[in-house]
Amino acid sequence: MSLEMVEKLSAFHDGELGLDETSKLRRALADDADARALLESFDQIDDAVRDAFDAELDQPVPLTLARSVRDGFRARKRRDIGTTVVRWVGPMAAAIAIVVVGHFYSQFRTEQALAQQQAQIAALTDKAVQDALEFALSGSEVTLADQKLAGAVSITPTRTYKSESAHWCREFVEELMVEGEKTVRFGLACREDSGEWRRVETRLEGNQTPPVGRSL
Amino acid sequence: MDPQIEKEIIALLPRLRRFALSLTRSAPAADDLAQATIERAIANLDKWQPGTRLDSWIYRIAHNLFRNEARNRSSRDEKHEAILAESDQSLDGVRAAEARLEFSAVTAAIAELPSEQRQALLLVAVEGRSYQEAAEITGASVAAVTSRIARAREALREVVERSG
Repeated sequence: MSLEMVEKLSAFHDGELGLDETSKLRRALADDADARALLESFDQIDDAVRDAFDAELDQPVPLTLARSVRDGFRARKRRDIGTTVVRWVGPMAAAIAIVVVGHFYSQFRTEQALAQQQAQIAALTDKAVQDALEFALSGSEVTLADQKLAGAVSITPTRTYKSESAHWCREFVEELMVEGEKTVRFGLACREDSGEWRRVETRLEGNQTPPVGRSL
Repeated sequence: MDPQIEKEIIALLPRLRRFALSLTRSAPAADDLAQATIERAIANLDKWQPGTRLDSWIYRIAHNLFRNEARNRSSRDEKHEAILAESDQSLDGVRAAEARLEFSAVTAAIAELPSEQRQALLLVAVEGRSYQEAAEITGASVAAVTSRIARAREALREVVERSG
């Protein structure tokens, strides 16, 4: 079969052939068993190709890549703030006043209320970690929000591997947003036989990537 | 807008890495390309037009970076092959065995395709892009994309039928 015919069949398979050519090809296919067989084989080829390429999505994404994204946006934010300072000195003074008022307001909160809030955040975070590590592919984000807390937790698994002790472990980026304040942390958790993901490492900065195959 | 875009880029990382791998064929080189792409994209984010596909724009950056460095690539690949060989040796036995099992005949055949064909196949057959979109990302004509995909399928046909 000519390469031209293969190209036409391939484009037809992808819905990329023009109307006229599609009509001509349909007529030709009625009398050409080889062409029909080739066309049918494209489905099988595409399925195999998708399986092969999709398997690559399960490979762990280096934590350094996720960190590059975060650092890049931080640098942008610093640059934007520099520009804003020049243009918005007045509004900024008002914003600072709001922050100061907020600061004094926060001092009135009781320790009991703070402890309760932290417990709720911890519970929300743990649920997000369990959901994300158990069900989300690397690179997919799981976000849980709590309106009462005015907060949200986003967990993005970034790397998956099996430890020397045969536990599945996953690295993840944890973004905590509470009352407008954002904290980004990097975590590592491993799956217990019970199905629970146990956090074994949490850090704010630095290279969190442990050696591949490390023991728990 | 930035926080949302930051999330989108983090979510894109596995696919960006796969796209980079379709160009480089070497995991360390793909990571380097993905890293350079991210840095370039964030630094030039103001040039991206909201309303257009962010992933296509980032893929185009990756493609251009890869092509622009073509002259230096052969020496860099040699270096990466050496690094790859070292990291292979550092894998524990279980991981190495798993990796061998997962490296199917189809995966091997895809790796043997010219990078242009592999890239076109990924964009169209796997990611469901139109020929026009694939052409825009790779800087090729629609006719070239048509030819590359057909040739790639033709090349894979025998091995897929044999392994199926």
